[in-house]
Amino acid sequence: MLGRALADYEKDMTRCARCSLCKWPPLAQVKSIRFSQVCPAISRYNFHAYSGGGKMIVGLSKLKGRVDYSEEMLNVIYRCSVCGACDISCKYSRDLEPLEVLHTLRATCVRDGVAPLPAHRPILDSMRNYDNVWMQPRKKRGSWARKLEVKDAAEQPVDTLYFVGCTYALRPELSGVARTTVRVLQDAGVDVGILGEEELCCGSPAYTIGDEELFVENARRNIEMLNSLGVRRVVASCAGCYGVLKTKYPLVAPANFQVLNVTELLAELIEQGRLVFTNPIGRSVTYHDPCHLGRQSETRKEWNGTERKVLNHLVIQDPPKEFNRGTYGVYEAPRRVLAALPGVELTEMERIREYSFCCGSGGGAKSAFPEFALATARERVEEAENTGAELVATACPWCESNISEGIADAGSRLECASLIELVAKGLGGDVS
Amino acid sequence: MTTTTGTPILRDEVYAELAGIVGEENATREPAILDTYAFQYIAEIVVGDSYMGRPGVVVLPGSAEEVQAIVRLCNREGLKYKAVSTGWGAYGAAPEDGLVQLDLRRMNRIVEIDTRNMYAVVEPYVVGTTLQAEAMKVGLNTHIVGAGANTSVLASATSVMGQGTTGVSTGFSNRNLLGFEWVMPDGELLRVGSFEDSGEWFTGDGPGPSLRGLIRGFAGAFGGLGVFTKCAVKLYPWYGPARLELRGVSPDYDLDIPENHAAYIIDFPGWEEMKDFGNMVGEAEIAFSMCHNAPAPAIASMTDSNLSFYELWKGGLFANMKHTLEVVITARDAEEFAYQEGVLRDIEKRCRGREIVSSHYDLHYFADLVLGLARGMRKAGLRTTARSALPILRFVLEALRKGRTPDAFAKTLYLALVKQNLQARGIFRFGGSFWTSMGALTSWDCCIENAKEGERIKRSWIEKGVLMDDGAENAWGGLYESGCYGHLEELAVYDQSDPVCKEGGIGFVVDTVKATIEKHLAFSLNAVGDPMHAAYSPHVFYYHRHLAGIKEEFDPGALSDATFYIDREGTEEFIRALEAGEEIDMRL
Ligand SMILES: Cc1cc2nc3c(=O)[nH]c(=O)nc-3n(C[C@H](O)[C@H](O)[C@H](O)COP(=O)(O)OP(=O)(O)OC[C@H]3O[C@@H](n4cnc5c(N)ncnc54)[C@H](O)[C@@H]3O)c2cc1C
Ligand code: SF4
Ligand code: SF4
Repeated sequence: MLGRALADYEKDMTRCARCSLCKWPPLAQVKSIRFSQVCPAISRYNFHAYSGGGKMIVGLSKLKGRVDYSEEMLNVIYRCSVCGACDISCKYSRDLEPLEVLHTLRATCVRDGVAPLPAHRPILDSMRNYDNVWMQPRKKRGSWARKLEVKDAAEQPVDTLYFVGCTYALRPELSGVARTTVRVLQDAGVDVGILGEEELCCGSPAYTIGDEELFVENARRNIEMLNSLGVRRVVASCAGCYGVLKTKYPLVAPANFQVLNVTELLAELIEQGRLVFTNPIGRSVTYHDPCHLGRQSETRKEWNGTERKVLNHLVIQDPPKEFNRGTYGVYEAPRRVLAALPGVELTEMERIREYSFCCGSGGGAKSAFPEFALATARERVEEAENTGAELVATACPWCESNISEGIADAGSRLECASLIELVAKGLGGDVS
Repeated sequence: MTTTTGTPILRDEVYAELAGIVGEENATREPAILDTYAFQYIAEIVVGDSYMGRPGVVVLPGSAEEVQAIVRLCNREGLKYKAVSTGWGAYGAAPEDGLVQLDLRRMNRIVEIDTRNMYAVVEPYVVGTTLQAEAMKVGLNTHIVGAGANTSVLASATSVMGQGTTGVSTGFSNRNLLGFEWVMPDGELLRVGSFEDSGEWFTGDGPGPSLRGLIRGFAGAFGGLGVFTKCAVKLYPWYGPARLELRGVSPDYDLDIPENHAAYIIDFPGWEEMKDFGNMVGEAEIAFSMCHNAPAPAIASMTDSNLSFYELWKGGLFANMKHTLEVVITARDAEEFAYQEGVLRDIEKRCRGREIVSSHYDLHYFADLVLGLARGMRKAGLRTTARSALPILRFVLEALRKGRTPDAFAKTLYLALVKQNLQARGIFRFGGSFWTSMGALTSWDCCIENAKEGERIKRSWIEKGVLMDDGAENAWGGLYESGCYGHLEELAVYDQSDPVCKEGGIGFVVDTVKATIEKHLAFSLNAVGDPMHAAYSPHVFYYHRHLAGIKEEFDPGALSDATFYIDREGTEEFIRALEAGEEIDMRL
């Protein structure tokens, strides 16, 4: 939700049972002691405050004036990848909103002027000044597609807009994924276009860091522009962009287009027989669910109702509230794509789908606390290695980049690749 | 000297020393972090606020040696200290500020699983779910307390209670304790049981010292007797797969119940039949798990939100189906399964039980379901039945739409009883918090009397608006060690953010404590802390003197926080007040 204050969540925070369920996957899904934790923050920093439940208490203490801002308190709030795993585990049993509290805590810090953290400021400034997070001039945003023959959606009508995102567009080591995506979609006969230099940052970093004002401004501009294009659908291959376009934009303004992740579109194209694989991949693969493609990709519905008590103290919501419990995240589409690829043997990690362990990169963790982000990636790499797979496939540039760093840091022989690259290989094409 | 919230400031030199023991990043005096150890469930009833006292420092030791060094430092400086494993509940904290809080989260290893002798050696942060996951891989299982699989195996075995739904086959936590490593209140390290002599932990008694009864007694010392850093617990055979594979996405998991396993909810005409059934099934030694769960938490665990619970519950039919037992059978092979189910159904027949939920959905089950529902309807009356029919039909249709088979409830039940994963739905989701009362470890017959009395008392507190109206009957518990004894505690749900509950909740507890004494219903699980000891001790040979003697002998400086254990003077002052006919405040 946007524009909320901690006071709006006082009851949620007070009703936290301090049960620690948010530190584990939903209990029946725990498969070993080694991979039994689900929260990167508590796994690294150990004090209860770092867990989702811990942050509920920090929020309550702040609201009640029991504590005031300090460097360590800001550490507690920002050494967290906002992955939402705590939220899923809590909501397996409870009608509470730990992730919203966590977001509201950050938004409160920004409103109170104690955040963004110094490491986050340049990112937000870059968004304001250049419409991207990488401090690159606007003109460079279209460079990735220089040699591509692809429609400019700002100039001519297209059915499907490919929303590339700052990272695929501006990080040379990853922009091959964007080119591959366009080629694969074109091969399948999708009428696809891009915005090139005109594309704006999706605003996700501002949202996760807690700068709601900047996020709303960004989202509004994007929605207006995308609405004006008259496209049927917007496809994103960055899970961060996808997550925010799909789940947070509806809180800002109505959109006249459908939002899809590229894995959903690929699965659809495969099933329609429009992508036919001829080239065996010959690799054992495990799949990492990006948080914003999986558990955090359910559209948030604005709920402005009130709480009502029946049977004396049974708490229900009026009008009924739909809780986001991670049930309808995009889990199957990427797996359907992998299953269709010849010569891919998929072995699952222990923590998957809605209780997947985050790569560690999100929520501004990578920029402000790189050691924490790397430790989290190392944990995920170890879990991936434990499957015996040779390759970790994923569908997010942030995950791909951080897991790759984890692999390098661990000296592991694993490889990390984007799902679309495997698809291109399966089609017999030249990657990027 | 104190901080603005009154927390005594730990001297910088002492803090530096503590940080030196555990490493800088494992010690903190940050108020925002300290508060996350002060905020505790039931604090609102214990001290009238969501926060217990704020510790002066939290440390995260990584080994028994570090724990020893911390405890010695506390002794030298005269500082109160307390350990938590997962830290769930007010008893992990103290009412006053300034405690040295040891959070044992970093001590999280399963040291060993001995498959031949069927035991595991664990550190404090090993919880039910992690030990179970590893034990099942080698055909073993562990006793998990009713609190859920998120609680510490060690804390339960050494320091707190021990009731769990599989008690009929896996006993009570203190009975599973096969030795422990103990940083005594003065900082000395002691290993108890066979480990001291042989390096193996197969028994808690001799040739080394046996102090099992002394450190625990009935309820445990709740952190009031030093710190336990390792313990061995008995494991039990598991006749299921190495891993229970689930399908689906939260909050709706589905699974195939393993072959030769089954789960049932059996409804009886009344308490008497339920009592007989429990005793007979216990004696027959056929059940892996057997417990009574009241209709409200049972339905809550089958629904994914308070709203869906309310839809089903409000008609009123289910509140009338309250004399039930939940049973899980886990047989080694088909022959054994046939025997166990045969015996179960035979006893069912003798006790006029009806399977209203079953994973074995045969003709017998469908006939039982119809007859069971008919009995419930008769008890509920026509109007209630009519009111309930539509929501139930809607719920069933929705389940069918989701592709659920008639054994769907049995699957959820099986998962809940084997994995102990659904407690938070059944109690916390309703209003936010709960208190429990009665619950003596006693004969099953006496347990039933506890349940009846608990229901009666609770109804009056529901009528006062202090507790959630869960139908009043919300006893939970089961039988232990083949039915040699049992326990039924009375759960009471409330909203801790509501002043009415905060102020009134203690009244329910006081009434139930009085009832257990006046009606000879044995020793309630609330016999914890000085006011409660004062209420019980004069009726039980002044037992507090023995307990206080142990505390004083091992901890003469009273530094291991004993708020939830014993203080002789405090208890005796309350006893004198009670003997003078005064009312005492049962809060701590
Ligand atoms: C909702 C709920 C339901 C419960 N239901 C049951 C139940 O059905 N059956 C049952 O037996 N219990 C029940 N309990 C209590 C339960 O026994 C304990 O919560 C649990 O077994 C202990 O594990 P923990 O991880 O919660 O311990 P913690 O919360 O860490 O500690 C519990 C107590 O033990 C002390 N302690 C913990 N570790 C150590 C240590 N290493 N050395 C010294 N002292 C230590 C702490 O100081 C504290 O007083 C329930 C509690 C809750 C919150
Ligand atoms: S946030 Fe939810 S899961 Fe975490 S401690 Fe609080 S109630 Fe438990
Ligand atoms: S969002 Fe992720 S990292 Fe942050 S507290 Fe929740 S589980 Fe932990």
